[in-house]
Parts: sequence; structure tokens; C-alpha cells
Amino acid sequence: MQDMLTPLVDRDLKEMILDAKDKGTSLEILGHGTKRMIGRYSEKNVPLTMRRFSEVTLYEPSELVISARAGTPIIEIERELKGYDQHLPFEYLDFSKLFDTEPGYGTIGSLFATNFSGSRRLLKGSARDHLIGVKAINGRGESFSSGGRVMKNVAGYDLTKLMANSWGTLAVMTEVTIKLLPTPPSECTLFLYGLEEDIALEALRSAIATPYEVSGAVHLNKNHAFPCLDGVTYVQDKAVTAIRLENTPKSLAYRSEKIRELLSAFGELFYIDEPESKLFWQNMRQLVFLTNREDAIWRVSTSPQRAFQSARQIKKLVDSQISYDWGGGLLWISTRGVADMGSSDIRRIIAQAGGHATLIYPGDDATQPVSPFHPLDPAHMQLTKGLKSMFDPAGVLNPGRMYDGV
Amino acid sequence: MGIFSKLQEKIKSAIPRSVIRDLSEVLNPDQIVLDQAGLQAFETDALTAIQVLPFVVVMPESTADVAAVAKISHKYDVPMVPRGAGTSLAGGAIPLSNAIVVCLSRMNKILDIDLMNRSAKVQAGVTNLAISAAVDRDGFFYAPDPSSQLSCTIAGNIAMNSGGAHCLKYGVTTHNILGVKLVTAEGKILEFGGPFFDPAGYDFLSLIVGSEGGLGIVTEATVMLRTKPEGARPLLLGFESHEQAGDCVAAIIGKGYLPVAIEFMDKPAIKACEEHARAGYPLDVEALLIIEFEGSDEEIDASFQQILRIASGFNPVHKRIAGTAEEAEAIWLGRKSAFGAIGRISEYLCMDGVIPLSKLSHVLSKIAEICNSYKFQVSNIFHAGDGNLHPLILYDANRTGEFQRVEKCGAEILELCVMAGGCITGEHGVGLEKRDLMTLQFSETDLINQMRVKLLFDPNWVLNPDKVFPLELAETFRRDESSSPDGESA
Repeated sequence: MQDMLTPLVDRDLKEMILDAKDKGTSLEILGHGTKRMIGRYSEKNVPLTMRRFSEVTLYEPSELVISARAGTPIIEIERELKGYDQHLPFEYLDFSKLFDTEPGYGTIGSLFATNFSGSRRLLKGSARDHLIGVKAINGRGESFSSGGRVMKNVAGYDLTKLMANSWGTLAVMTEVTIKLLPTPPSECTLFLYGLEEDIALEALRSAIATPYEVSGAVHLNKNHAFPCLDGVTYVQDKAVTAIRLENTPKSLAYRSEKIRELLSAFGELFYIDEPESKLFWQNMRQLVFLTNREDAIWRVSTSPQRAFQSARQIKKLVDSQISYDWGGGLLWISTRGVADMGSSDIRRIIAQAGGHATLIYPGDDATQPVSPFHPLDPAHMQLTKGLKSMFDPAGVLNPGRMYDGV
Repeated sequence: MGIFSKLQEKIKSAIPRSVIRDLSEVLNPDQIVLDQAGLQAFETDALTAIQVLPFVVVMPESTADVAAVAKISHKYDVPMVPRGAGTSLAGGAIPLSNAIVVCLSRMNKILDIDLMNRSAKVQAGVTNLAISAAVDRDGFFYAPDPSSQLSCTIAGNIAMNSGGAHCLKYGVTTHNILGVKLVTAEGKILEFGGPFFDPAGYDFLSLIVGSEGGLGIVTEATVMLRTKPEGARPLLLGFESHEQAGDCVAAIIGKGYLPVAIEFMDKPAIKACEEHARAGYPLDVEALLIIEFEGSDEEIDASFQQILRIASGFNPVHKRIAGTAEEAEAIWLGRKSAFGAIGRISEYLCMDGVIPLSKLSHVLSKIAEICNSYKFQVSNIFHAGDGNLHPLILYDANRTGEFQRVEKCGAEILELCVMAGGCITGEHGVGLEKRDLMTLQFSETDLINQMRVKLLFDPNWVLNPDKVFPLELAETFRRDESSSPDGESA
């Protein structure tokens, strides 16, 4: 393991980038390293951690906005927000159970650089959608900023959202500004047990199509369901279909009853109140159903309409367990004992349906290298390389983290 | 307009007649506008003070048509100015005299409505409201709602990243677009995203939305549909001062209530709207808030009670709850006709700055001071929940030099917004109007990083080339880039 570079202020970071550029070396950009296991890894890159860039620089609860230096631990930001009953609405994914790291320990910069949003993305949008301002230093050593602290800002090209999901390959974010939302006053979840997948997805679609603002719509197969139901009463050893509502207690009573009436034909609906409801969705966010490191783990964004057909095709060809989030728009697939982790079949089927598959973890025993990110078609790859060369022509920042040559 | 006329001088170079010949080989005669009277219909957009007669206007009917036109533009190095319905308040669709105007209004088909995916695929020339109309019966709608939604196109909304009164809850265009089909400057057809969340790789969609036609011409879009609420009704609150109204908004949001819209009007705006629309607005208040909630009748009433309780701390002198759909409509009619109502009184320049809400009363009194110093009257309409101000500066268009003066006055207001921690445009875009004001908000390096993106997509700088970036800076940038092909210039 090489020595870790630890810049404290922008000037240090700039010097380190320019130094690497002059020497023809490259940097691995890290926060706390909680997502280091995801994506490609290159031993050549000298690790640089942003963890000393840690400070909340602005918090205006009445404007629903917070700014923090990029290395600020997420947990610290959440602590600030809690005091004003506000939250990060996109329910970021926490990989700590899978990778044995401390929960909530990641940095706010890495959260946006990787853009992993959780179940509430269905209703409230992604991490990217809530990133409204960035300050960053690109691979040329130039400091630039984009966006700002106001929610609406259409001046110039949106380099802010471009930083989301760029995995530190274009620029190193030094400060981020985030749009917040009030934490809903209460929540509840409706459970249906033992539905077949296609029926479950139909139930989820029906619930989402109501005006009752469903903020979580998942279907977990029996094996995936079990760990998520830890601590929940009325557990049945079956697949579970879960529908979350968040609102005032009075609205929840009204809305959950409406959904119950609508979905009564699908089976018995169990009303799960707080704190069990919260516990279930925390389990979802921490991916407690995907902690077996023998498995390869896939996260697939696709068309909800095609999700069931795609899943059925995949299961026919690959020994796999599949669950659904975002009402079918997100598949979590675990495979075991498949030579290429199911990559060729999964990616071919998803490409046909529309969408893309990310290999979150290849499994402890993986031998065959598989690209973690969905391969791009030649036109997109050309643009991707072009964009990389505009921001980081010498390939200093996280080269190869996403794709070869990027 | 100094720089603008300078530009016009510079581009009076002869345009090859063969451009027209090539265009008529790929398009039908009724898709090409060449006659003086026909071209005049395209000489401006909603920034009517600036008019430029284009060289030719084409009316493509398909992505293939647009690609064919782009290839001709590329072949002859002739600029293209994409145009939707021409409703840009920032001059985003104002032609260049040597440009091919690519007007998408004939590409107005809804290609596919996929309620299971909660998405719709549309040609980019479809109007904003037509999408909601097509799915209304099924209980869905397309969320961004610019005031011009009856006529503005999705192409224009994507170009400018348009917002609207209800984006406090539902976000602006960039939050509601899942995918686009784009014709590049060279005539290639590319697709980004699709009927699924979070596209793979770099977020090119985030660059394309809001790029003001500078990266390519969007010909199709996959938009997100949302479920219509059970109902929606507003509450009117009148205050004796701007401060009280602003503080009330801050208290509502700070206490955890997020209405679907919070609109603010000052006294001149209230008066104009009331005279025009007879919405029943009180005329004896300094500031009026329209606060809308969604849900069932009981839920809306419960929210109103909470808001009234919070508002009571700020001494509201007028309170009115819309009890029925008709009353709700009347209240909104006043607000939605605001620009028209003020337009009946006088020509105006509509500004679009954004400020942090906490600076509201400071900014409003400064705006009054600035306008006073120019002897202009001003009406303020404001999406208060997200800090998006629309000062309408009234001026006499018939007086020589007045437009230049009002532009200067507007620039001072936008500078004030930036100084307060905000930005120069919240939903209208930069266009021609604010091109030279970009340096108020951005450093040269910021802008160079943006221009590099344009250079990647549009190496010859032919797509809406005179918009968004200050001309001299763009010229210097391009010169520097071409002199150091390794991209290491800046």
C-alpha cells in the first residue's frame, strides 16, 4: 500500500494534481474508501483522500440548503439535519454491511461521485437531482465552480450534475451544495406476502399510480426478504411486497386505507407502523439482503415495464436471486458460481429491454475479470473519452476507475 | 446591443446559394422558408426588442430531416439556430442573419405513452401542455409548468431547463427528462437515457438539458409522467410588508411544510393582475402570497390550518382559502395572467434572477432603489419557495435608447442577485439577453470549463453560436484551443 496523500486545503490538492501531471503519474481519489470495492481498481494510482476537507460550510434550514466540504462524513451532515427535521431525500445506499465498514461513514463527496440512490428515488429523485452546486478542481489543476446555493439556476451548462456518477474521473469535488427536504413526520408500510413476481409488480404499479405518493415500492424474493424483515412483526417466510407511505399520521391513515381497498384483490395487506417500518427501509438502504460475499451482486436500472420479462429470462440462463426496487425500475441480482457472474447474459438481456447493469461486487472467489460498469456503445465511449480529455487530458484523476482509457 | 450589431456586421459574408440547393434536395419545398414575409415570422422570439432576419428557416418533420439539415450546415460551415415555439424570454431562439433556423414545431407527435413506465416518448416540437393533456384522463401529468406551457415546446423546455410555479415540489425540466434523441452538429443521431432512471456512465443528459441548443438539436424526448394529486387548492395571504411575507415563507419551509407552490406578488403586480383578471386580490396590501397544497380535501384543509397558524405570527391582513375548484382557478388565473396584465400597461423587461430567501427584503428594497434611479416602474412576481424573482421593469419601447437603459437597469438587478448569493437566471436561460452578464456569476475558468463541453460536441461552433457565452471570451477561447491541439492551452 502506497502512502496516502491527504490534502487539507484547495491549494494542496491543486499542487498534488499538478505534481502528478508533471510527473506523469495518476491519483486514486478517495473519501473514506467505503466504495473502493466498487468499480475498477488500478494499483498504479497513488491514493489521495479528501477526508480532511471536512466541514459544514453553510446550513440554511429555511432555504432547504446545506453546503459542506467534500470530505465531510455523511453521518455528520445527517446529524446537523436532524436538529431541524430535514434530510437527504434520496436515501443514499450504504454498503457498510457488504464491505464491513462503519455505517454512514462515507463522505458526502463520494456519495455524489457515485450517485447510488435508494428506494425513495422513485418519488423524490436521485442524489444527482439534489446536487445544486459544486466547487471542484479538474485534472488540469483548474479550480471551477458550477451551480450555487439556490435551488433554481439555469445559467450556463450544468457541470454540477455532471459531477454526479463521474467517480472522480473528471474533477475532484472540494465542496458540494445540496437541496434538502423536510423529513416526513411519519411513515408506514403495507406488506403483501407470497405474491408471484409478476403479480407483485402489478400490485406495486397500481399503488404507484395512485395519488397517494408511494415513496417506496419493493418486491423481495423469499431469500432476500428474510434478512430485511429482521425485527418486523407478522413475518411470514415468503416473498414480501412492500409499499411505503410518508406523511402526517392523519394522511397516512387515510391514504393507507385507500391503497388497502385498491389492492385488496392481491391478498391480505399488513399495516406496518413505525418503528418497524423505518427498520425495514433502513435494512433496504443498507442492503442487508446482499451481504453474502460469495455472491456476485448486480444493480440493474431498467424499464419497469420490461423488468419481469428480463428477470425471467435472466433466471432461466443464470443461477440467480432477483429482487425489485423502484416499482420494478431497479433489479438487485445476486448470482453464485457462474463463470462470468452472469455478465454476458444479464447485460445482453438488459440492453434489449433498455437500461444498464452495474456489477457492485464480483464475489470473493471471482477469477474472471468483468467490467463493473455497463460497456458503452462506440459513440458514447467516444464522447466519454472526449469529455475526460476536456477535464483531465493527462489522465491524472482516477484513470481506469470507470472504463479502460477514461 | 453594441456587441450584437458588431457581430451582425462581421457575419455579412456571402452564404453559398448551394446551401439552399442542398436543402431543397433533402426537404420538401413547403419545409423551407425563404421569402421575406415568411422569414419575418422568425426574426425574434419573446425577447421582441431584438430582431434579426434569418437567412433561411427549415421545418423538419423527422429526426432524419434534422440530421440531413445538420449535415448541410456542417458541409458549408453555416450556423444553425434551433427553435421551438419561439417563446424564449432570453432571446434563446433569435436568429443570426447567416444561420439556418431549424424550427421544430412540425415535430409535434406524441410517439408513445407508457403509463406502466410512467413515461412518454414525444417529438421535441410537441407543446408542454399537450403532453399533460394526452395523459390527463389516465390521472397523470408532466410536471414542469412554465407560464407559456400552452405554446412552448419540450425542445425549448429542454434547451432552457424550464421551470414553473410548481417546480418547488416537482423540480425543473432536468428532473423530469429521462432520455433524449439528439442530432449533433455533424448530423449524427445519438440517444441518451431512456425509459429508466439514472443513465449509464457520464450524465450527458444533465449537460444537454439547459445547453440552449449549443450541444445538439434535441428531436425526441422521453419524459417522466407523474400521478395527478386528488386535488389542489391555494390559500391567499396578504401582508403589510415584504418582510412579513418573506419571513412567513421562511417560517413555513423551516417548520417542515413544503407546499407545491408559493407565489409572491408585490403591490404593483397585484393591482395589474386584479384589474385584468378580477381574481379578488386585495388591493390594500403590500405583498400577497399564493400558497398551494395538494391532496384530498381534508388533507388540504389540514395543511391550510397549519399554514394559517404559522402565518399568524407575521400579521397577515388578508386571508382567503380557495374552498372549491372554481375559487382555486380564479386565484391562479390572476397569477397566470400577470405577465399579460402588466403587458397591457406597458412594455416590460422580465428579469429572472434567483436569491436566497433570507435576502428577500434586502433585495426587494434594492430593486426598488435601482429602478427608481432609472425612473422605471417595477412589478415583482416571485416563485418565493425557491427564491426565483421576476421583476418586470416597465419601459417605453418607443423612446430611443430606452431598451438599452432598461437592459442596464436589469443587469444591475442581476448583479444584485449574484451579490446576494443567487444567480442571473432561474428558469428562462441565458440566451442573448444575459450572455454578457455570465461573468457576473462565473469566473473565466468556470466558463472555459463549460465551453470545452461545447467544443467537444460542436467543434466548429455552429450550434446557436452566439448564445450563452460572452462573445469575446468565446472567441479568445476558440483561438487558444485551436492553437494548442493537445487541449493544454487554458
